[in-house]
Amino acid sequence: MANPLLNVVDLNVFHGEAQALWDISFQIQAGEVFAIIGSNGAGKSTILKTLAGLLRPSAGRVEFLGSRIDGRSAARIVDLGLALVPEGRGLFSGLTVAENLELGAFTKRARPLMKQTMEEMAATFQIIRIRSDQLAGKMSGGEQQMLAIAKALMSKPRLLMLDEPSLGLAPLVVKTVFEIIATLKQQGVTILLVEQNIHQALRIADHACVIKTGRITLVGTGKELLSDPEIHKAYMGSLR
Amino acid sequence: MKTMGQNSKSKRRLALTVVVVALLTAVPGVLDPETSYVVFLLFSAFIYVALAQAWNLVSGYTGQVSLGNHAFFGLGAYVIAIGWSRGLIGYLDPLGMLLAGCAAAILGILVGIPLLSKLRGDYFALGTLGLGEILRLVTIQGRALTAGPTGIFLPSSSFTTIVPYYFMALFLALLATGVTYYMVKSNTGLALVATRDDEAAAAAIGINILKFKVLAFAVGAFLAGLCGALQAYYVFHVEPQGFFSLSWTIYPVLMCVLGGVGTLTGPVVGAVFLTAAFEVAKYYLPEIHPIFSGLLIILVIMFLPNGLVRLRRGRIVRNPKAA
Amino acid sequence: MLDFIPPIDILLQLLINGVLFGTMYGIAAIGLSLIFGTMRIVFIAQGTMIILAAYGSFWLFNLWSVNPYVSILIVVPASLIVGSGLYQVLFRKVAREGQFPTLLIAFGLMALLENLMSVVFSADARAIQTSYAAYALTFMGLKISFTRLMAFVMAVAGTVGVAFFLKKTLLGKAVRAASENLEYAMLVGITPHMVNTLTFAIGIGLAGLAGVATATAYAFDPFSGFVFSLKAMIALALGGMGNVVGALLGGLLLGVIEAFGAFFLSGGWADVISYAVFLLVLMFKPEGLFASGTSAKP
Ligand SMILES: Nc1ncnc2c1ncn2[C@@H]1O[C@H](COP(=O)(O)OP(=O)(O)OP(=O)(O)O)[C@@H](O)[C@H]1O
Ligand SMILES: [Mg+2]
Repeated sequence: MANPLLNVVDLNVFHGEAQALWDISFQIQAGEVFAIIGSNGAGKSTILKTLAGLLRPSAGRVEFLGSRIDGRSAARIVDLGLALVPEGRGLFSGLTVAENLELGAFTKRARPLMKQTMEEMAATFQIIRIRSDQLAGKMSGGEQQMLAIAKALMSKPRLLMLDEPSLGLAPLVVKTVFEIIATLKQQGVTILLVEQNIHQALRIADHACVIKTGRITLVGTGKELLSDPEIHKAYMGSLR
Repeated sequence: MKTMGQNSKSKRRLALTVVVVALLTAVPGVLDPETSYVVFLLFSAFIYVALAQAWNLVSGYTGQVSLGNHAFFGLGAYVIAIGWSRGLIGYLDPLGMLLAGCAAAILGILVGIPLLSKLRGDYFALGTLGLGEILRLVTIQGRALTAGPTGIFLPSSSFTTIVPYYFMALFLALLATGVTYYMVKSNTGLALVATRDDEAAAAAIGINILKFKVLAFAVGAFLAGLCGALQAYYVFHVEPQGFFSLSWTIYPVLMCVLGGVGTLTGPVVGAVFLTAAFEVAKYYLPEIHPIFSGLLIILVIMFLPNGLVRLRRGRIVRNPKAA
Repeated sequence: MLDFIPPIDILLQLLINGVLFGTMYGIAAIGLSLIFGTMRIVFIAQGTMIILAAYGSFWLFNLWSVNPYVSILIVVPASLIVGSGLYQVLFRKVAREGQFPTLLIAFGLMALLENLMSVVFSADARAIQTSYAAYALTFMGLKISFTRLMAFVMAVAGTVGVAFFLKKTLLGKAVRAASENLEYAMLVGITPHMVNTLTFAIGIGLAGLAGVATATAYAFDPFSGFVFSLKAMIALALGGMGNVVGALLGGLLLGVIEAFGAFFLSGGWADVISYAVFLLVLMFKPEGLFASGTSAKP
């Protein structure tokens, strides 16, 4: 196998005194969609925040493009090409759509390309074309999620991390979100997807892992996990 | 095992406290109180211990940064000045001082209920800051009652010796420390400390936060009022600038920070240490001593942010945004 | 009954005086608002920084006859540098410790500067005595002091400049973003220290501008700063934290309240009224009276 784009080795993370993650290890290859699934409070967001540099691991390491990024600042990490759309979408609600996108390209690497990327985004996402002067906080949930993804793409990421992008959205909008993820995948964007919408996530994922109270309990391809009886019993039953 | 360990620890603490208090009680007998600088120094230190503890109770344990201690301090002083100058209370009158403390506590309750129920964090700090300014301005405008900006002169011929002041200040320091200990060890206090950083959690387990906070605020005001009363008896001249000076809030705060906020011994250690430092500075650098104080505040916060008594990490009002 | 109400021209004159002086509060409040917005620091030394800048302008005029309006070109850039230096030296390390230590450092700085100034410059009240200091424009029977009008113009120019910076430049947008949500800002590559340095520089830069305005139009002494800071906080509470234009309006409103209060009652009671309004606003409308508008943080 080629060198992975992202290599996470034995990650341990604490929230204050309480340990949230134990020995998390996984790899993501360039161009794939990797899904992390698990129930509420399992530690999914904690993984993403640690990768993005918002939390420091107490042990373990994170390698991105072959060099270690754990312990680096969030700003440095996004400049290296690891972008996170956090829970709650990460938009600046008092700023306009256009301003949010501009700030998405704040990094040194992305700033010179801002104009051009903005046009690309406008081509991909309708709302941006029509609504560029509207306040981000005044948009609907689905529109906000599109904008959040577009904002992250403004940083020209090599790996896009999405934390529950379908959360709180109407089924029809969820469908659109997954279509966008599929489109991005086709365009060659590597994606780390955290979802509770397990069925859809596993269908789109090349690889996936299941996390339970801070530990990885299952790893496999999306297909394998999709047909795993354990998963069916534990998660699918409760979701339509 | 654990209870035994704690038991012997608290016994040791109690024994140490008794020894220290006994030694302090003996000081005016051993040293000549009229000439010894140490007696005066300890007197000031005791007042600051009480003020620091008063602030510690409100802000260190409930997490609400109050910047209004000087309002209560000044109010206590003015109660004495107004009462004594009209012959309503006497010289070093315990009842008068109690009255001063109660006046401050009542103001604390009156102001505390709306401020504490409505304001959080910075806003509460600003609100209490405004309180001190209001009282200062009101006393300046108070005409005959407060004698305006010149303030009230009291019969300084009453003064004979510093000894009663010394013991009263010692008593205040012990009272403040004891009350803080008692309130924090009460069920509500313990629960509140346990959940200080998470108000929703405290409310969820059924603590009446507001009641405890108002109580702590009022007790803090009471103690500050008593200190102001004693200071008024000592200075014999109560005027707005000096008694409603923000220093009466900020120095105690600094002492708490230096010693360790939210600990019982921290304010004591901080107050004694800083009073000594300020007095030394005043003695050797009379002209520029206020500069030195400002500098010291900055240095302490920068290099000793957790305090000398490191029982807890100094995390009071954490900035949620700067994590 | 109607005897109480003075003639309309006096009312107008009061209004003008209030507005002119209120801008000083307003511009100080904008600096506070920026610093508070990104760092949650109640920078109580802001007023003292204004006084320091006023001394700068005063000595430039007295020692080297630098015209006070020209001294802006020296004082404001110097203030920008001092501001970023203050952040780097005093606040960088403790910024993450929260509002509480930073408030104390700001207080320490205030005490330090006040006393340093009173030792070095003496505690005497000063004012720049230019040839045009007493000049006043007369307009429909109303008198408008030239220096106060210039101070007003400077304050408005400063506000417009800052509002433009926040609205139109990428760095300004980054400041607004960081004020709104620091974690989200970090995720797009904004570093807190960069934003903090920037806001401190601008905040103190504004103090520089306000200092020159103060020195030309009003009397000051080393200890005027504290009350200035308090008034700026009141203006801020009136206008809403983190709202640039609101802060200026808050300052104007406070100036007008004080002008009328001083006329109808007496100078001292006017201040009591200001603080009472302050407490009422904090309690009943903590988001400020001008919460909507061009804002750094709606
Ligand atoms: N800031 C924090 N401080 C303390 N504990 C935290 C903090 N954030 C998360 N935790 C705890 O860490 C664990 C993992 O949380 P995390 O947010 O990573 O879960 P999650 O899998 O993303 O859940 P969800 O599906 O609800 O988003 C949980 O037990 C949570 O309570
Ligand atoms: Mg989560």
